[in-house]
Amino acid sequence: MRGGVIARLREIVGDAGCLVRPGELFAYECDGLTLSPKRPLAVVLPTTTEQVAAIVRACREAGVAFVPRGAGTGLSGGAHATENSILIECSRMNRILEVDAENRCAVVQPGVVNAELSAAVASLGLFYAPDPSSQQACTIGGNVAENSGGPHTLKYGTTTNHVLALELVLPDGSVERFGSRSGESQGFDFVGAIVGSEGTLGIVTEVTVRLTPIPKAVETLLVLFDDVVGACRAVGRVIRSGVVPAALEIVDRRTIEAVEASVYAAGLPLTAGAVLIVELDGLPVSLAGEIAAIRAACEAERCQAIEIARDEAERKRFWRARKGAFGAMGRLAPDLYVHDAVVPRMRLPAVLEQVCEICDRYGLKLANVFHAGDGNLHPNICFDRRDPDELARVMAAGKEILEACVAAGGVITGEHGVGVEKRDYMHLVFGEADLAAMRRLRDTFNPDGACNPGKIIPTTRFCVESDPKARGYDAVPIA
Amino acid sequence: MSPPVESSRERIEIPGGFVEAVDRPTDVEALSALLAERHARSEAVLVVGGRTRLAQANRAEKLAAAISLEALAGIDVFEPDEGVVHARAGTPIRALREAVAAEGWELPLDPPGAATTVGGTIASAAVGPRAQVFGRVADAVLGLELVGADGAVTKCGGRVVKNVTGYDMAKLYTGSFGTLGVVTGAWLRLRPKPAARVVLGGRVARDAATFEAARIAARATTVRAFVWSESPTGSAAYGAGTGSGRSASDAAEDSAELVVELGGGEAAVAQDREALVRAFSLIPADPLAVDRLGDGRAQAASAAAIGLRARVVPTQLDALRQATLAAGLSVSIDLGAGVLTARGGESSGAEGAGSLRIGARESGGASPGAGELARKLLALREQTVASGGVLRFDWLPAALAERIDVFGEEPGTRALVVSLKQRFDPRRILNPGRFVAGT
Ligand SMILES: Cc1cc2nc3c(=O)[nH]c(=O)nc-3n(C[C@H](O)[C@H](O)[C@H](O)COP(=O)(O)OP(=O)(O)OC[C@H]3O[C@@H](n4cnc5c(N)ncnc54)[C@H](O)[C@@H]3O)c2cc1C
Ligand SMILES: Cc1cc2nc3c(=O)[nH]c(=O)nc-3n(C[C@H](O)[C@H](O)[C@H](O)COP(=O)(O)OP(=O)(O)OC[C@H]3O[C@@H](n4cnc5c(N)ncnc54)[C@H](O)[C@@H]3O)c2cc1C
Repeated sequence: MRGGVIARLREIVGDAGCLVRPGELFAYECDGLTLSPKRPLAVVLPTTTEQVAAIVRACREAGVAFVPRGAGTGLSGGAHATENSILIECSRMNRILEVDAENRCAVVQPGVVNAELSAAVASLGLFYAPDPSSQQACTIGGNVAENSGGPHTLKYGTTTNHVLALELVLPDGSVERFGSRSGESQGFDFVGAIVGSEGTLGIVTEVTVRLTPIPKAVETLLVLFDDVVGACRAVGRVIRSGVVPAALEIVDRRTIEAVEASVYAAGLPLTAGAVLIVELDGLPVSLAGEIAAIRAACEAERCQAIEIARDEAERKRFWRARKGAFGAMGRLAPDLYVHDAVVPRMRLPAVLEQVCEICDRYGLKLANVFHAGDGNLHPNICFDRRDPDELARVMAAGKEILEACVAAGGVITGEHGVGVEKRDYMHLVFGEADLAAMRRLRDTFNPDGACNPGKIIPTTRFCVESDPKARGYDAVPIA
Repeated sequence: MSPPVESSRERIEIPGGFVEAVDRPTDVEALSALLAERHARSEAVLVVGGRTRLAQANRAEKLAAAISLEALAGIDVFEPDEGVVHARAGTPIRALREAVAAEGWELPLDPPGAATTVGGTIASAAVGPRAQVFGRVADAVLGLELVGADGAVTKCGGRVVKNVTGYDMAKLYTGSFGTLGVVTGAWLRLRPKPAARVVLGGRVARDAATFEAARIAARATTVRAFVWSESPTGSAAYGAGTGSGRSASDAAEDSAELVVELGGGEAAVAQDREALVRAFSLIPADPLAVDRLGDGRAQAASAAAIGLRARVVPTQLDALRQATLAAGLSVSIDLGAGVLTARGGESSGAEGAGSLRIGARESGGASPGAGELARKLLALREQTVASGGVLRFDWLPAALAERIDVFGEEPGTRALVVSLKQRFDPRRILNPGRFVAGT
């Protein structure tokens, strides 16, 4: 039967679009979450919606599950294959189909790389606002599936605020369109429900996105603090001041050290315990007043120094400290566990102290670089997976960090998604009835779970499905 | 101590039916018990909030009673340092706006109607004239609590401003008109109140060139609302009371009315204000003009009234405006958001269903029948959908309600809609028949 489905897939996408050799499949065993890799049966690389639909139907006929994938930069294992499943990689569906500058929208295929879309419309004075730090590689399809954010989410919102309409290949192989160019739907907001569904409701094959005018003026500030708690307090003051910066990002001392020792070196003083990057944009006439408000907020928290970027080169240098952080941290240890959780912004100082305490207690090296304005923490734990004891401590500390965030009124992921990584932590936030509602949504689109099985929703002993056979695909153990 | 459910005899008429009893649970447990009981007996209920928009619905299936959220009201948590608020479903939007404004925040929801509630606004995804800066209702919703059809108490989302923990269920519930669950409370995101706010008004020529100029002007950074109102004859359509210094006769004939609200930093507002005054000869208007206009255009003046709301991409707005006027309806257009509201038929209330009329153009001649009117209105919807938009009716006279689906339907989604409703409300006890595709 397996041979049959692969022959059928070859008919659909051609030999070059169907990878089956172990050497070819190696790179597809995991995404950005490198723990617990799984090898797919095959990887198919469609170029059209019709091919995706045909692939899905072929998988159904053969009774194999299928998993959509973009660039594989996801950090929660959303694009991990399960045993005997087919990965449908959308990277070759990478055409920008239409740019409607007057109505400020574009129609794109899911494999278009995030940064390439902004580059393509820049000459029209427009950009695509969601800017995950992985934007040079990640795809719009992956962004839609994860409802990705980025440093500029504070002012511009996440992916969901920028998706107007979608085309979806449903898990039964049918093709439907949702939403409209106006941004509204007739009836239920299926677009809103599909964004952030991590590829479990179907395969997105076309996206109509909103484009945003490039702001007329931008000011970038680099503020140095003694410690990360002081920087967090300043963030609280900025939020209360009524100014909405485009970005409010914090980089802590350990991250600064890593960045300064790497190719991303931004000339940051190693005397600072934390750096706050503030970006303001809008009308030139508004920015002077906003800078004054930021200055006041930071000085009230006794910042060490405030620098304002004098030109584009300096602005880029400030951002290098932020954007190069993950790459630079590769220097600290062989492995990096990138956590992602959110707390109410005014609880940031207290929660960060707790996070440090947890990592100290487990004897782990922690570095923080995060979207402070959104309360979105990224505690990054440096470790070596070859040391099983350290790996166990990383996992235990991770769970405690999530518990601390939830106890502070927060949630377990702000942008990286649940995937397989946090599936079994969903109970920290949601009760059985809440999860049952999510299951109803999934089952509406994906009743037997064949599309991206085992993601997001934990399987529970308590949950008696109306048709126990129907959940066959989820029975496959994940880790 | 007050009983957990207050009940009264009261008649509420809605499209396709009526109820004669209203239950008002005073806490979530009472609502849960009430729904569990209705569920067990398969008795359907009408969910009501401020009752400002119960008429906006398809014909209901048989209903046993109404459940009103008005006793579940109040602000539970307001954190001025965080910019979020938690309110119960029955809280009037206006009261909430005032409460947060006192601390320098603004609730990014401005649906019309003094009685409009938090729950009703979320259920109907109702936006007001500031949609171009406030965005959609769902953008303000961080988390929701609901009671499901079977009485199960659930929540989704959270209280933080960024969250991808599981499916974004709040999107599904927002705008679902109470067909998947009853909203009992919401965490809402606030925005800083603008430092300066200016309201301008005036009348301008109602030609395509002026309309286009206004549409472009509405994109200026500090514009919060930019409303163009116009009747088929050019007489005053909505009377926002812009406080124009011109005489009434001057204003009445053959012009469109503009109401503009600017907000932001002092300097930026002053800059935009100057440009607008120069371009359209606008003058200062009543600070409440935008909200009053929002209210005014949403009031059905008679039983024969027709009201609709469409949203299209900016470049299609003028075509839709012209088609709507040609159909005999007055329009009020939020230029920045691309939202057109239209109404007509006010003068025909006393006449029977067979002689419905809309607009002044037809008032002299023979009245078209309901069938012809329905065709005209459906053609408007077709045009809107074909140009990448949506159109729903706010209210329809009985003769048209039989022929027109209030919400329309995304082609191809019916099976999903039916399946979704079946999974959330298998016994069809929540607002059955009232929403899209028979849900
Ligand atoms: C260095 C680094 C920095 C990062 N920074 C950020 C950040 O700032 N903000 C942020 O939000 N994330 C960030 N991420 C996470 C990641 O880049 C995002 O989640 C991104 O959106 C994933 O896109 P992708 O194309 O790589 O998708 P993949 O990883 O391939 O897939 C992600 C999920 O999307 C699904 N999927 C992919 N394509 C489709 C499709 N066409 N239809 C349906 N489902 C699909 C998959 O099944 C999977 O569940 C970062 C990752 C790295 C490695
Ligand atoms: C003067 C006026 C102007 C308007 N203009 C506009 C406009 O321009 N644009 C626009 O979009 N809307 C407009 N509306 C619609 C109106 O603003 C919204 O529908 C309103 O927010 C409904 O609030 P309500 O509390 O009165 O709800 P109700 O009228 O009581 O209920 C409205 C719908 O929501 C359901 N519902 C109510 N509460 C709940 C709950 N807690 N849980 C689940 N379901 C619930 C009801 O079953 C019903 O279907 C206007 C209304 C008025 C009165």
